[in-house]
Amino acid sequence: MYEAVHAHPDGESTAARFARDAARMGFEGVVVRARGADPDYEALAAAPVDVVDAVEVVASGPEQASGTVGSVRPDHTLVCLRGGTDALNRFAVEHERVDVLTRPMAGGGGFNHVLARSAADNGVRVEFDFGPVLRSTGGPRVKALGRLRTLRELVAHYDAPYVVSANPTSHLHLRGPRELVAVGEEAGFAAEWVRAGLREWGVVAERNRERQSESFIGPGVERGRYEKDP
Amino acid sequence: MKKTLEEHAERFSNLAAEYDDEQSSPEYRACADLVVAHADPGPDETVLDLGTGTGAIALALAADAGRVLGRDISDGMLDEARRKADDRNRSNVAFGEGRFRDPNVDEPVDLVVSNFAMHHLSDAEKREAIEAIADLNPRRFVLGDVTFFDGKDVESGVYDPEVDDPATVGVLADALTDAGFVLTAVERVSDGVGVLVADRP
Repeated sequence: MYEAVHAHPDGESTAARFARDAARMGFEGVVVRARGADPDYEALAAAPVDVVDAVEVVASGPEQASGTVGSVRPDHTLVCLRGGTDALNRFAVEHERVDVLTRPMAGGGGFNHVLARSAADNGVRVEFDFGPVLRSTGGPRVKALGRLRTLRELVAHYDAPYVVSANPTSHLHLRGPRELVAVGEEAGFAAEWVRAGLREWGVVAERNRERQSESFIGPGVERGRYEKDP
Repeated sequence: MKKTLEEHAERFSNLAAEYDDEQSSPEYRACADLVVAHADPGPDETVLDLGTGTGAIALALAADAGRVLGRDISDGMLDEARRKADDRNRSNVAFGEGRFRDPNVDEPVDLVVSNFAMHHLSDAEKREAIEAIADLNPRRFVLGDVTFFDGKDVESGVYDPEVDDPATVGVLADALTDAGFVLTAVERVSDGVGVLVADRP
């Protein structure tokens, strides 16, 4: 199971600190959803958990999103696009180059059957953001819980892929898998469903690493027995 | 408590001069760091540090808080804390006599912290202490301490059964929620050391 984090300077804690605390809590890895952050991934290879080179693109609209996603895609293992408006959410679920649509409902953006179906067809993971449930109170928290419930119904109905995250911006926001499952259960999610959402980050990372490696030529084609190095 | 208040106070007064040098295990340091990080006081806020000892936590928070009040039962410890505050030119920290169940503060406090101190109280006494802290109405109470995550374990090297009486995390969590707090974080520093963050709902 993985957690996807905002590392310094996007957040307050360094990737190394996140990795150390995540290991203590029982995670297998962290996904560094970088915007301004530029961690030294070579040095982080020595970290106690897998550290995934990822990007979270934050754009004002689909045109900007398209340009940025295109330019960052080749250089990073995982590409996330932050949603929050109808236009950005639609862009994300229609483009399979995007691995994860994050925070789809945060800015008042909607999510509906059409988008859920697109996400399922294109293999774009929809993020369930537990951050507001963990860190806000009162009205905003009640709204956030309601949105998560709506999202859950849509994602389940179309069997769209999904991920779960507490969206931590500080190591103090990290919560271990057991705590996330417990909070999820209180919010109406099944325990195994939450765990699958935490594992999914690792699943996508592994798939993309394999695709971006030299041994991958195309789906169904493998370098193999008959090839000899010159 | 396993000894009387006076015996505890005297024992700590005797330890005061060397306390900072002796108390440096990685668990203690991690615990102290997390207490300070979760406390996160604002520049207008008043922090109360119960069982302040030589002032490690109080002095660390003084840099960011408006005012810090350190309370302890040991004169020796408080003297050492005052000396350190003078050395570092910290004028917004005040150290004085006070106990968990009678903190001796007559001004409003925004944050209460305590590190490696409450384990001297019995579980019933801890409950009373937590209620007394809740009565001060802080927006957050950060408790770092020797506390058992998997049931009472006498093997731990961080405490001395002659003078210490640590609780399980469950006991602390129940006492905090019964006193009206909401537990928003539980940091398992090790099997026998943890930090609990309790917020006013």
